[in-house]
Amino acid sequence: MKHISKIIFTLFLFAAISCGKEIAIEPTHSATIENAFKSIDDVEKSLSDMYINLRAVGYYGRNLSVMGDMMTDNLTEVGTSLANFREMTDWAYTSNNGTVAETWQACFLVINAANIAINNVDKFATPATLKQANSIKGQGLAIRAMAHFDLLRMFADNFDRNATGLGIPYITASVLESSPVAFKPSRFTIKESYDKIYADLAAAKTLLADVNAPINTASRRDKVDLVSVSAIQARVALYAKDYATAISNATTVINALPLASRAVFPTIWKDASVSEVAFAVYNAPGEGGRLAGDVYSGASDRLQFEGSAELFNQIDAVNDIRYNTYVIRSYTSGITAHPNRLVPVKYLGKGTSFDGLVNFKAFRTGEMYLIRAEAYANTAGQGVNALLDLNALRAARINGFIAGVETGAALTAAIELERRKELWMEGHRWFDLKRTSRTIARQNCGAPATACTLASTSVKWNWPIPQGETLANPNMQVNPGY
Amino acid sequence: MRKMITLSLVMFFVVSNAWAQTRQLTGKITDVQTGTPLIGANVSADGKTIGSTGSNGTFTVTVPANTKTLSFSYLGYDIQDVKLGTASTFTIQMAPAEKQLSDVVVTGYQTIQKKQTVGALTVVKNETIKNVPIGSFDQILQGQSSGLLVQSNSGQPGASASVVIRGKGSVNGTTDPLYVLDGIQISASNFSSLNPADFESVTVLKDASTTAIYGSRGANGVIVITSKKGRAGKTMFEYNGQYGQSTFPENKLVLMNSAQKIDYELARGNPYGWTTTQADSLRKVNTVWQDLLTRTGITNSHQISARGGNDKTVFFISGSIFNQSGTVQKTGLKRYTGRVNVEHTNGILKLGINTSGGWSDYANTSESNTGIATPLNAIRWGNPYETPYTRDGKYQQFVSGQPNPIQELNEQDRGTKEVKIVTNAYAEVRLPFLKGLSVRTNWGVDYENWDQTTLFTRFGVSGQSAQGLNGSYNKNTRINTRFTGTNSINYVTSFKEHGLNVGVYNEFIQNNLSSFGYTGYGLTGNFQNGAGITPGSPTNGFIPAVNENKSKSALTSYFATAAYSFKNRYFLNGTFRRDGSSRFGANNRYANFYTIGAAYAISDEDFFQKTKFLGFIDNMKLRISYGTSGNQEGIGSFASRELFVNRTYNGVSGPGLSQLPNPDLVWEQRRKFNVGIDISVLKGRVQAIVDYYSDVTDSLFLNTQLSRTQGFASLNANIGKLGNKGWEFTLITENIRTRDFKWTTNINFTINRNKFIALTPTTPATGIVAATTVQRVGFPLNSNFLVKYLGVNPANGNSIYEKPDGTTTETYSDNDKQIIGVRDAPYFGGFTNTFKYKNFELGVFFSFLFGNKIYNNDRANVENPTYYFDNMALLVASEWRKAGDITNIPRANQTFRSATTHFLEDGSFLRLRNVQLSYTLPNDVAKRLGLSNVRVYAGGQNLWTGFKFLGFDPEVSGGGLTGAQYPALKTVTVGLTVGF
Repeated sequence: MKHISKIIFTLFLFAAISCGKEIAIEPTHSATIENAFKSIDDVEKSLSDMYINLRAVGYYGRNLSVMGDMMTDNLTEVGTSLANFREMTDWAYTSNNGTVAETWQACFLVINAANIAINNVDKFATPATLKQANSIKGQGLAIRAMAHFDLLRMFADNFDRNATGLGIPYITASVLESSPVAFKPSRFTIKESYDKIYADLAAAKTLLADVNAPINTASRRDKVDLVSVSAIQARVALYAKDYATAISNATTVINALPLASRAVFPTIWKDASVSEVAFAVYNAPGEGGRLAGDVYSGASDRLQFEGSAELFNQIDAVNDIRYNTYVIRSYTSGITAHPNRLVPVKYLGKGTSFDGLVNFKAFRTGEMYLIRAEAYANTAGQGVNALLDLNALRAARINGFIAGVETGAALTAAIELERRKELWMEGHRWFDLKRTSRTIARQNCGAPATACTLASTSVKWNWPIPQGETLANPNMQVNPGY
Repeated sequence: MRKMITLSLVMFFVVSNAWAQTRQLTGKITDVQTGTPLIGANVSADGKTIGSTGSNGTFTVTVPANTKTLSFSYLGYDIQDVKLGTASTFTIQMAPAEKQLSDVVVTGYQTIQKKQTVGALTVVKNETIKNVPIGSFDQILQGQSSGLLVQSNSGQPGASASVVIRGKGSVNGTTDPLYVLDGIQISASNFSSLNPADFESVTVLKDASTTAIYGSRGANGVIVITSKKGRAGKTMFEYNGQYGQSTFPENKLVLMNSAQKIDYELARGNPYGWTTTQADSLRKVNTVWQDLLTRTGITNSHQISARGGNDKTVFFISGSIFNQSGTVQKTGLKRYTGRVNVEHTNGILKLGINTSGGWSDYANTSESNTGIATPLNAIRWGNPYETPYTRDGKYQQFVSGQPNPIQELNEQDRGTKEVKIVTNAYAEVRLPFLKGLSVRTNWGVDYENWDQTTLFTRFGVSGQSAQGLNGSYNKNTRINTRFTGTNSINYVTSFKEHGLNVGVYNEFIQNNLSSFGYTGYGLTGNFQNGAGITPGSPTNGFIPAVNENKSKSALTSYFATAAYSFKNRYFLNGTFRRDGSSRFGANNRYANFYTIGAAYAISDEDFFQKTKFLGFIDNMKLRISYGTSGNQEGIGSFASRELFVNRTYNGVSGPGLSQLPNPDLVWEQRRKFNVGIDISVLKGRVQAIVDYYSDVTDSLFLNTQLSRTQGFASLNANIGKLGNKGWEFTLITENIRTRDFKWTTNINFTINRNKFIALTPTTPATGIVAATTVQRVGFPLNSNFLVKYLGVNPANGNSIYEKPDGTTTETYSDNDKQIIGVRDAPYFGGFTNTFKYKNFELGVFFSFLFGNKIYNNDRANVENPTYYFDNMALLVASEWRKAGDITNIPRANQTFRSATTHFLEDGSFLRLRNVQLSYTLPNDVAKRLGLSNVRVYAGGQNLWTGFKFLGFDPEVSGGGLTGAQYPALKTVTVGLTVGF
């Protein structure tokens, strides 16, 4: 009898294991789509992911904020460089260059997050939440168009509105709506790409005109709202040589967000003011990454690129507020001496900090003046207006500025120079050269840089479609020369 | 489950069991050396256990009248066969096992005679493991078994090794073998809190048949560890103490000294603008950063154990202290362990518990990276003309901007405190109503608690670049708890010449991982630790980061095994199992696995024994097995689903997609075929084991490449077939055996060929390309994919590359990449020579591998001419400067390309892994001292290594050296073992 109790005990242990249920386990610290999206508020909050993806090094964290300056004559590489971007800055990239691949993917990651929000909002939209849905969709469409445009800037060889060359794939379905393995898009023509960018921006504008609550506030401009869409449209139109659209949209932004005063201008870069900022990507301690740490990191006091002496020699160090806002000669955050270097301090940090955690000002009124000036300059009979805009900007930045009188080619050159000065380290220089003169001739060029000039005929103006993409997707046409 | 039990019981009852004429035999079994009675030793006849020894080591068994041989076995002892004559009482003296072929084998659930195994396995004995002064036991296994490739990636005290059995069979899944300690799954790569001296044996299971009972997890092979158990008799105490010293090995990558570096800088245009006076004084500095960062490491260990019991209860108790300081400053491991194993037998019931607890405290330095603030990288990069301190005793700031490694080392602390408890309890009932039927349940837990802290004070560059710029203190607590429960019913019987052993099992494993951590900033006050954290405010930048994660996974298995033997000569094994894993989608959770194996002890055949020319063969056995096992580890706990994680933008948190779904994801399955032969000749003087295996991984987890246009580069899917084929050889010879002198040799050698057999049609023909590797059909896993470097054109200093078509070019192109060399060594092994003269014993153990290539990124970083602001390889001084220069280093102003064969090096090595000389006090002398045995020894690890690789150590797993190498220690030890 005593054995029987032992047997029962043993059998009991067997019975303790049930069949199957114990391997049906649900995640608690992450969620499937059904649990992630339960209301329209969840969809709205998913826009956070879209904005965060803009902080990636492949986007505004580096490659679309300062790479365009590192690759041209706006910055000069110095000996303490870690030389991690030598293939980019010497224009030696080939199809498996990591920086190009990371940029390509980063743009599409932003687009995918936008598509998740755009395509999930209708599930929850009711008449009561229509305006909230407008806000979500509007922001999503605007960022989707912007990211596609940034791809077009990098991978298309011609920016004319109706060009027939290879444009970009335009993605409107999220990865959860397609079969990712079978999804192999090809490139639209440049014209078709523009058509879609324009359409998304127009739709965004309509939607964002009718929203439930203000998207930005007087002190926070970290999301895309109606004014920001005009800013995006102005930039796109300038590239497309659609000058009328560029002028009208730049005007909208200029009227809504006037230029900062000289007193306020330096505080924009310390995030103490959002004056003239249309859209900035938020970065802060505890959230986000360091901006432009590969140019100069105040935190580790490592200088890899200094301001181009050739450029800064053309800026009035005393009267032009931009000079000392952007660089400080021989600056050190405390560890290493950088004797006589033009140390970039534009993104040093918020307030007095030098940790590099500052917002990236993606669109601001200074650029809008230059867009409008260039658009006027390229519009017959509007040279005077171009000069007015250029002078207005220069007067705002330079103490005691005496109005310029440039015309014709001199005016065009003056606008180009002013873009270098005003938009230094905002990622524009590479694309400005690409859409205009297509030549680079670096001054004061030498070690560690090994290439100093880039001819207009070079295939390198057009970045290679990454090898990872073309291997996975044979439909993706490569760029010539790679 | 209930259904299964009923079925099994029915099956058992049909088997009949009857004896014809019988006779009774009695006897006593003792240890040949100590005379201690062996309690619980098995007595068997015709391959069937018929009884065991009780207290005082005595037994009484009843055997059929026609039984010719009695066989006696005891764990850790040689099996003894006794021919039956007319005598009916026996005195058996058993000797501790030395030979490989006649061993008993512990496969986890069962202890079986090696003769009965149909698969491929290797037993590594305690003697091999216990005296090696290495913190992590997996490192000790290097070269000890055929088919087992162990590479220590790091000499950091407590660091684990890379362990691969019979080639890598997975890419996205784990390639770690399954580790089982006393029936409980324990974590791979985490052994520094376990005491290897507690291990009785380690069994490496390699083929389908031996791993079958671990089918759901056995794809990569299984390492079964058995801890020491008690033995009835007088309580035996043993003390073992050891002291050792370790040094950093020499460097093969020659760097510039101060004069050479200054000359190089001047030749490159004097970037720092040294004046002649400055240059002359700097030439004389010559700081050797390696010497400043390293030291002589000290190892101390003490361990004491007690082993004893009576016929009802046996126990093993041990405690140990292991204290090792690393050869790099501020690194080391302190470990304290304890173990209690108790087993109690009461009639038909057997109960037991095995428990070990370990606490370890290790201090690390960062390694295997290319960070400029990593102290170990300064050995390469620190300019020799820099000094660690200024004249007034402050940290020197380098002109190059490279952080001062002494400052970084002193101003950071990286520590892990770990608690690991592995415990299991079991109960076994021999059911009284049917002889041979038993029921067993075994439950256990592997509990690990890590407490990792990383401190960067505000006085180092790393701390100064932390958020808030004033140091940081990070603490992470991770708790992993894995439950394993196994219930089984086993039935052993025999009739006439047939033996049968069948079992049904149910197993359940659940893993719970939870982690919590924070990083605090602003160590602005006196406290450079967690107490010094300044609360964050919107302006001070000290906002702390806090994280938490939890995940859970589970496995459930049902399986049945059957082993049949005929005449103890023909053996047939089979297993069928069904496993479910929580990692897969609802429709794909379950998979079935099976194995079948057979063995034939041909030398037992009458014709064999009668054939004269085969007379020199004592034993010969043929084995064959085939079967499948699964792999589902190494992929995420929720790998089949889309996952959204929390993402915060300016204070607003929302869902962000982090993983793509793949509802079609199924088990990775490995089909394993093995055929082998065991042979023993010249009265056991020569034993050889040869195995051929061919394993194929089906439904291979691999990243199927996606168009990046939806933001994701790849998706984990079952897209390929990967094969590993190979030969394993083990040869054990007794070269000389006289009364006083004995010389034995043990050699093992493995050839492994790894290649992709297929990838899905959607995979491009080029394969799946990464920066320097490719996965392509017909080639091994992670094949080097590089542009072939031929040298330098003397005319212009350009690099010359060879295109795949054989023509040469000076233009670098990714399209010219070719597959060159394999990353994982195809040939490896080890050999041991043991010399015994009277009471002296000398063991000399070499391990080796060859045929692999290592990509040396560490060298690329000191040959990159852009980095001439920091120190460089001496070779770079011979770079091309003018037309006519014959050199292998191109002109400095050419774009530097690292993805070329210029940085691919031979990874072969031969290493004197372990050498040990010991002296055992004669028994009578020891007894006069009141001791049972005394042994003193001296030895060394890694004392000599022959290799060409340009680094500190050629042991680099995975085929690439990133940088910041912490090489394997070179250690000299002395030790003492006393038994009383």
